[in-house]
Amino acid sequence: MNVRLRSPRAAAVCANLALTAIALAFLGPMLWMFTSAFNPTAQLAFEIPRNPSLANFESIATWEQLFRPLLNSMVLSVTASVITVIAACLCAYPLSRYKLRFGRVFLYSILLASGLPVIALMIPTYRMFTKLQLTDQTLSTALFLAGTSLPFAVWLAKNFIDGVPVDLEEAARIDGATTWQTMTRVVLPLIRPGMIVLFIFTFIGNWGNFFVPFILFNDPTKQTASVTIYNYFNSQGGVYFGRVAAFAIMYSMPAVLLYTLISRTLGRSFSFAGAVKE
Amino acid sequence: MPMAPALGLLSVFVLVPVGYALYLSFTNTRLTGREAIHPEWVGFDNFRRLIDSGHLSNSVWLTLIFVVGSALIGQNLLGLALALLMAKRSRFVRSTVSVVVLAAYVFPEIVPGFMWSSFLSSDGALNMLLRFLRLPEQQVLIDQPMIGVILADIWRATAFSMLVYTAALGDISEDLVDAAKVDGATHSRLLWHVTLPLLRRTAFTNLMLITLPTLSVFTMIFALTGGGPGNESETLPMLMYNQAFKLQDLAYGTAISVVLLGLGGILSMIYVISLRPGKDQ
Repeated sequence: MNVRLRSPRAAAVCANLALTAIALAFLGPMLWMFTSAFNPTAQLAFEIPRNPSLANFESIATWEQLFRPLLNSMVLSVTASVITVIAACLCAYPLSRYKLRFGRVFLYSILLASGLPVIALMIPTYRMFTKLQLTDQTLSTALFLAGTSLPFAVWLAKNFIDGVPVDLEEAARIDGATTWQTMTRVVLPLIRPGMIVLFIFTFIGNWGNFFVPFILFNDPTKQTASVTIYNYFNSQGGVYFGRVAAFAIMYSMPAVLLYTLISRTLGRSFSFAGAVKE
Repeated sequence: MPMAPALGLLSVFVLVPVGYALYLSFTNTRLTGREAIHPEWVGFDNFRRLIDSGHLSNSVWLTLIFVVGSALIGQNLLGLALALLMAKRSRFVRSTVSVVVLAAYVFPEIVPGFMWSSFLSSDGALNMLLRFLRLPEQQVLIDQPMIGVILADIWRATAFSMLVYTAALGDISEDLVDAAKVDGATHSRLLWHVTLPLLRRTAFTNLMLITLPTLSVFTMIFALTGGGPGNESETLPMLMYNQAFKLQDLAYGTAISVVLLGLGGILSMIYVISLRPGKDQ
């Protein structure tokens, strides 16, 4: 055993074999979605399609079944994420730049709040929303999503802003810029990559969120894709599993594409060093 | 002033619901009917019932199994193993494995629920494989529901730990590794005496970061078992949902939310204290 592992080649072969096994194990559960989506007679069972076709995609491509839920998800996620990013950056800037009296307490509370299970807030929020007749409304739900993702977002935004050298702002001020001008002309452009990552991050979270719209929306015309696809799986799934799989592919695509986008940006480190001459 | 929108949103959608949850848990509010409109104060009745009925002990136990099995053991060790195994592999192997593992992580949470429903079903891919290997078929979601939901959750969430450990491994200085090699350390001794001790702090941070989300996993369990059969996979979030919305006992469900908030609060507190934010401000 020891002798074998000492040889780097044998170790490499072992590692590659282990990695192949893990990758196959991860691939296994995904297969069903891809085979069934192109199989018009797909069942819950796994089956290689005999006559692969796009029939499933064609039959779900209607306003009620596919496009409206996707649009609802899009409107809800974009609204919530825009509110989150703006509120988080506005909140994080003073936290990062000034010594506030309650600054540290606030940061501790924010970090503590980011660990609270949002799921446990759903029943009281549901009750509040029904009492105030706010259910089935995209804006109130978006505000709830924004409020609950803020603790993490503020924390992230503060880290981005901490990374912008104060020197640049001081230079702008010496040149006679007002606070507002410094903010919009100097700070914002510098934290833009961070804001985009934060936006996409929150967007992916909101896009995939199932429980919040499941509880806060009743009206099927307002419902998001996550819940529509679940209802579809439960009611029609027994007959049209292929369509559920096709829907799942369409619904997953934006999240997968956006993730690919930020994983590249994340790879490039956010270095602002180049902007300051030593 | 610029902090006002965030403070407003946080108070209305985090602080107020937490307070309201506490209040509701001491009433007899129901989802519909008379007690939905005119709830009464019932003191600790809901909490007493939670303990007497055995609901709480069953769900706390299952939640513990779920968090330990999925996060502490599954995601954490598999993520570490992946990071270690990939460290010196070719670019091709690394990117292929990462893409597959990350794909599982990126799908919107309900989609893996469908995938695993199919995968573990009687004619799913798992049983096809077992049949091919001439092994006995399994009805995982019926006979061993907890194993089913834990495996599915490990599958969905491991990518995060993999990324955390990969980043940490990248930060280990080459000099240290070279020095150990010059001193004649073997592969296994290098791993055991140099690499793993250096990852200790990362491991702690990772565990905290994955424990909290795993504690509140709902969608995967909801899609796979709904907490069943019976209440064999009814973790705290599932119990909360089933009691509040299926059985319409909103106040009783809220008492379970309060337990969840307490658990999350304690874990979060441990995390905050250990991280000491602002230390390096």
